[in-house]
Amino acid sequence: MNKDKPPRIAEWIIYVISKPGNKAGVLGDIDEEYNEVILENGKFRANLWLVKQIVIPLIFFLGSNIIWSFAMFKNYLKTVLRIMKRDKANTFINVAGLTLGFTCFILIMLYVKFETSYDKYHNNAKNIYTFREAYQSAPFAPALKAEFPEIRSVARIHSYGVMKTNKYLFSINGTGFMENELYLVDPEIFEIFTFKFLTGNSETALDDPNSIVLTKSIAEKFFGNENPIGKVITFENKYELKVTALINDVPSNSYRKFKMLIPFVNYSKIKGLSLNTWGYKDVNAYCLIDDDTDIASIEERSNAFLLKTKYRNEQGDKHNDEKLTFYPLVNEYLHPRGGGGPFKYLAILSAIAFTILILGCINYMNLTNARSLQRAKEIGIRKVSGAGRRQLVRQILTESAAISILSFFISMLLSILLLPSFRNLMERRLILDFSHNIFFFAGLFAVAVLVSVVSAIYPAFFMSSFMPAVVLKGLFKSSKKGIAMKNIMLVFQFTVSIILIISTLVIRNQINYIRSKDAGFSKEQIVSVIVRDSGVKKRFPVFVNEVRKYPDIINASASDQLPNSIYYPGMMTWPGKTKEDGRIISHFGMVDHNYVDVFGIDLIKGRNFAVEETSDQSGAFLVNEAAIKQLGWEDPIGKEINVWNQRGKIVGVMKDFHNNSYFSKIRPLTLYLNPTFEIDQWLFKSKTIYYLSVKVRRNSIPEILKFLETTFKKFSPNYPFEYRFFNEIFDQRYKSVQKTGEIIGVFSFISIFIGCLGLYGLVTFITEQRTKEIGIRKTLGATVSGIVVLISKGLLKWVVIAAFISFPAAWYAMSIWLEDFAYRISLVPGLFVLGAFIVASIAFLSVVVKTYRSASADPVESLRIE
Amino acid sequence: MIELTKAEELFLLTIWRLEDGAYGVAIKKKIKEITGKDYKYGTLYFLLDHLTGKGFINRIEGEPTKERGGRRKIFYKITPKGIEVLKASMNMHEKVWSGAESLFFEKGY
Repeated sequence: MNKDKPPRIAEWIIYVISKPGNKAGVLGDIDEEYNEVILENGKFRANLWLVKQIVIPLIFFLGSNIIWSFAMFKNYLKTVLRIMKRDKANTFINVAGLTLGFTCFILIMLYVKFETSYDKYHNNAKNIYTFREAYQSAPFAPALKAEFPEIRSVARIHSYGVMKTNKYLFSINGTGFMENELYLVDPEIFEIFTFKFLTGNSETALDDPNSIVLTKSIAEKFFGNENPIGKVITFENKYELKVTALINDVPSNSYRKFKMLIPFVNYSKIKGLSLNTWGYKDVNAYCLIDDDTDIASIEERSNAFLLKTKYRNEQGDKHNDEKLTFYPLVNEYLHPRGGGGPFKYLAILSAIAFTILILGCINYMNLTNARSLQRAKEIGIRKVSGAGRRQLVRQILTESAAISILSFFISMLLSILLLPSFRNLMERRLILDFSHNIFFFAGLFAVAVLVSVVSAIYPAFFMSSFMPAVVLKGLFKSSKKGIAMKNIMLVFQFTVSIILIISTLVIRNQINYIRSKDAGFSKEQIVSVIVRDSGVKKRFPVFVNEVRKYPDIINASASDQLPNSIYYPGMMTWPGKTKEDGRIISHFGMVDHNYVDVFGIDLIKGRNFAVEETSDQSGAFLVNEAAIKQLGWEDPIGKEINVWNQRGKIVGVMKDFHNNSYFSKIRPLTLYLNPTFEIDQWLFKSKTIYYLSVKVRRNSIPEILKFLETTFKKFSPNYPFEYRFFNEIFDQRYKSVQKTGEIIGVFSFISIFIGCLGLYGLVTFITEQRTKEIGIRKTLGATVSGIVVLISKGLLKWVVIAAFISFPAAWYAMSIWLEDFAYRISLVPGLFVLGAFIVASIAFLSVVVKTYRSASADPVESLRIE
Repeated sequence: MIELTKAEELFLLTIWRLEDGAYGVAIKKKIKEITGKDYKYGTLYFLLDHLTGKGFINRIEGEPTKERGGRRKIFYKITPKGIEVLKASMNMHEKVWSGAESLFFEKGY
């Protein structure tokens, strides 16, 4: 009879809405009545009826859920307030610890996520490769592309200028700007990388050799609000470039921070070399490789190919021993070619993040447990008065969840608030984007809930199931498992805190050591004027002498490099050198007679360059101890050497100084007397920066600067006057080490703080547990201090155990970190003992505070509480 | 003393009247018949659950039948407690309303 069934979807909706027990009834009823309506009014009316039946309950269903959520939320707030009112101190510690944990975790992971995202934004990111051997010859990459079809596209890239920090002159209508990050690139770069073109066309932008592509910021700097397209920029007073396109600024998570691009074909013009010169290598390249290409195989075949090509060096030797390695773009930042790189650092930071999070959670669990045991009596009483077990469990869970969820939301808020300071600390433009990181935050929320559940399980279930009498008597408090757990947590807390303190001490000491380590040259009261006009070279001696005339200037020196960073490694040879003598590579710098005096460099043998000594004019060198050590010459004075084809006699030996970073050992160094910096070597032809350094008397810096500027303008009118204080230049190099130290210091402090919070909470709990015992002891005549000692002794053994675990762990971790430093502090036992001692002291203090309170309470009261 | 809301009263009375035949469709129809109120199934079952919770009626599950797409009917039967509370309600009603027939002759204000 009842053949017509209501449509499936209707049934499904009703099924979802109905309460479990009624599902069958409702569905059946609807079915029945539906058929009746069909019989009475036909199918159409019946369906209408059905809609009416469904829509209204549906609205109520949704509405009531929303209302229910509001009600729940209000309830939840009430719960939280109630808890906070009741137990301010503990709740605060709990919330603080967990919130700190979450906040730090969020912020650190934000940074880690950013750092590991470098260059991943390109559309073809995973197929872009470059060469680990950074410098290749100009014809190399195109030849490789022609040979291997899997290499779909190559773009060569050459960073203009020798040093990354050098700036060059860009003139627009007579106004000069000093900028860097100019790159020569093949137009194919736009196929490989993903640049957003604001105006102009990626296909034609770099067709004309005289074109230049600017990023938005640079264009704004040069041209303000005007349209830059078609405008002319004069580069280094030599080249006229026309702006053909405008691209968006490169995102801050890019290894190469392009600002300006010009076509690669200009390479020949700029270097004076043919684009087919195989012998000269200073070009890099990016390749776009087909999906699913076996990189190892391409590498092998490329190396074979390399041997076949005209790949020779200047002496005509084939570079048979050099191997080519393909290397993904996305690794360029994290695993730089020279080694080092942020990877280790990120690993350490992530470890810290997790540690802080776990610490916060463990804290929370410990303290919740402690608090709940306190409330055991309250629960017992409630049970006696008839509260249902389910209700009790629900209440405990809800309270626990309320606190942890509150912490979660506060931490989100705190992350937002602290983001600006964090950005400054980490020096990155980080963005906290909730919508793109839903899984992360959902996961964190789940952790918050999980933590609350786990910490509530013990009290909620075990306590509520016991007979009220048992709970009231407190008999179950001392279960073996419970005590073991608590001791484990205590040891864990101690261990982590000790490790953190030791690490912080080590890092701080290492950084102080580096900063105070004698560089070997003076840093104070030296101002360096930056000279970029190579036309000044010949006139440097005149320039120097004019500057020296100024009364408050003690001395002045011209050089091509400053003592903290002398580079240009070149091979050293000497008359009679044989192959057995091996290769000696020495850093090379060109200086004048006053260099040694201005920078306070000590000479341990021989003398400085002297104007009177005419022999110096035909070639003279100062070398450092490291060089002499490698040469193995007993009496080096007067011996002839040759570096970068400059021949000269050694006139003096300098005491070793750090001409490179503290990270590396001091290497051989030769300073060549060349006050006009004329040198016939390829490498130095494109050198564009020289320094005029003056040692000044402290008092009249502004006047001195003014004088320097006027004098500078006389010799180099086309360039802006630039100067730096030498000690600032020096400190800059260590900024990164300092930064690292700062960051690790901040987070270590936070970890220690959370650890101490936890310590305090735990110790408090343990002491409270023994309130009754304390009361009894007091009545038996014990003194407060006696009780304090008793409890502390119990804790002490756990500290010792923690020390045994933490010492080796800390030693291992710190050894790895110190590896990076050529000059490092030694890990003395004192550091470790100090760490343990600090932790023990904190524990001890907590005991004292809490015990004192319990112990000075009237023993009658503490006994009566039971 | 427990007082019934109007809806509770209506439902209990209807269920009592329907004796052994008080299930979803029947209750719904009877109420419509008597009062003209058209209860939707959502509200209907909500109230039925509510009354069951209070102990005024009992749920009895019937046999599945072919006609209702193979689903069983759920019958409701009034409990002694329900009877008590209905009686009390009726008493109260009589006390409150006794002698108010003349209401029908009053002109509206």
